[in-house]
Amino acid sequence: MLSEKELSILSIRNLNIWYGEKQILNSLSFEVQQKQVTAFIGPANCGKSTLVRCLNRLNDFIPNFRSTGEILFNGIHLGASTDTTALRKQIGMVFRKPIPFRCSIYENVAYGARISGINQSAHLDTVVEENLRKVGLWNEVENILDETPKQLSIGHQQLLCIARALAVEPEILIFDEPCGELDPIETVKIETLVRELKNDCTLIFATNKRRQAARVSDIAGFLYCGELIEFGATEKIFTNPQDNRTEQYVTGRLG
Amino acid sequence: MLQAEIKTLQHKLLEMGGLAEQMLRQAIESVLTRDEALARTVIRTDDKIDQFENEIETLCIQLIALHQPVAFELRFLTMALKISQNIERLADKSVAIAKRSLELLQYPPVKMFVDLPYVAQVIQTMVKDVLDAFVNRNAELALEIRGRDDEVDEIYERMHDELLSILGEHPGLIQPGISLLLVFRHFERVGDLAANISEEVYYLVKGDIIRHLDTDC
Repeated sequence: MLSEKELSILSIRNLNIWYGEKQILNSLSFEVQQKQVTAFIGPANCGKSTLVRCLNRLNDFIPNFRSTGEILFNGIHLGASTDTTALRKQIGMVFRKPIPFRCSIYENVAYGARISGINQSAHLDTVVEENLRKVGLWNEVENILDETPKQLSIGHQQLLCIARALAVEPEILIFDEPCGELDPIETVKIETLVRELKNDCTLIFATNKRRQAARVSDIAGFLYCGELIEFGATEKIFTNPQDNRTEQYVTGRLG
Repeated sequence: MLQAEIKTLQHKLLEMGGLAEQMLRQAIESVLTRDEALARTVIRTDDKIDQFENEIETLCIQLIALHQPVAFELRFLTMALKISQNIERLADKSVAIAKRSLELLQYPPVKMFVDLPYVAQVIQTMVKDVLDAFVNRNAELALEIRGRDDEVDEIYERMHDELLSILGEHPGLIQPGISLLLVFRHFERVGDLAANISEEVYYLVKGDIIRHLDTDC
């Protein structure tokens, strides 16, 4: 019998994506296991962001976007009839550039909880504190909760965005190059946080930083020119990759 | 993240070292007390040591590949590879001593040389101390342990010559004599291996390679 950790939360089957005539992803198939960190690595424009944005249907907004194949979330096909608002509560997203809302630090975190139906102020207070503590930001912001996040450093803004995403208790949290704008110390904070968060939810990480994927992920997939060249245990990808292109990429000779 | 993994690795290395220390103690005791069961216990335990070596090697390679460590962490992971290899060799020597112990049982007791228990004590202390030096990151102790190997080498040379001259006079003792000579030889190698580990501990702490320098440096 499979343990909780070995269950697939996402199944991607023969996924193809086009923007207009241009094919971005080519016949991708893989499984994402619960409560693991799965990282997608690859050079710029290989399709990493397109792939992770498919998983909570963010690409739907792009004109000329077209896809074939299947994405199953907990065994249920994500199709045209999927309620995307509900889906995005279950599959959250953290972007490269932190985008805090133009409201107070408190309201940023409370926002998600409110749309989940939590309105009592004591309950909201708990949710806000819990999630700010989870990302290690509580001590820095507990006295400025009513102020705007603009005064925070970029790294702290990113942590705030993660706290906001966590407040709706997602099953999956996707990180799309979350450290692209951060300095090395802030990057370490985010990476450590990602390792801790996997106790609560499933994490998917897109990065063009090979070392980062090696440090944070359990499973890694190498994307190249829209193809998933190799997908498997991170230690295997970084110690004994099976495909020559993966070997070239992880050793810094490709991309 | 890597710091936590390094703690796990250190714990594993110490478990392996502790087991090798126990094997050496039992192997020596089996020679001194003619204890067949103890000798066989040592031989059986070797599989666990091999398993430790494989686990540690796999873990080191993974951590180097995944974390690309630098500075102390790099020294720790590269030295963990070498130290585990030397501990494995050390355990092999204990197995070899246990096998010689079984051979000696086939012959009437030969008069033990007074140097045998003495040198056995010296090498056991070297192994114990070098593991302490590793845990406590004690470069001075490591350097001092390395120096003790000279005494072990001197005693071995002396015993070698003495035994050969005795065997020349008493050809009937050649078979147990050779087994005994090999026990001394294994003791001498244990001293070398403990000295190797002490050099690795020194490098771990100080970052200086002292392998090919004289011991009185």
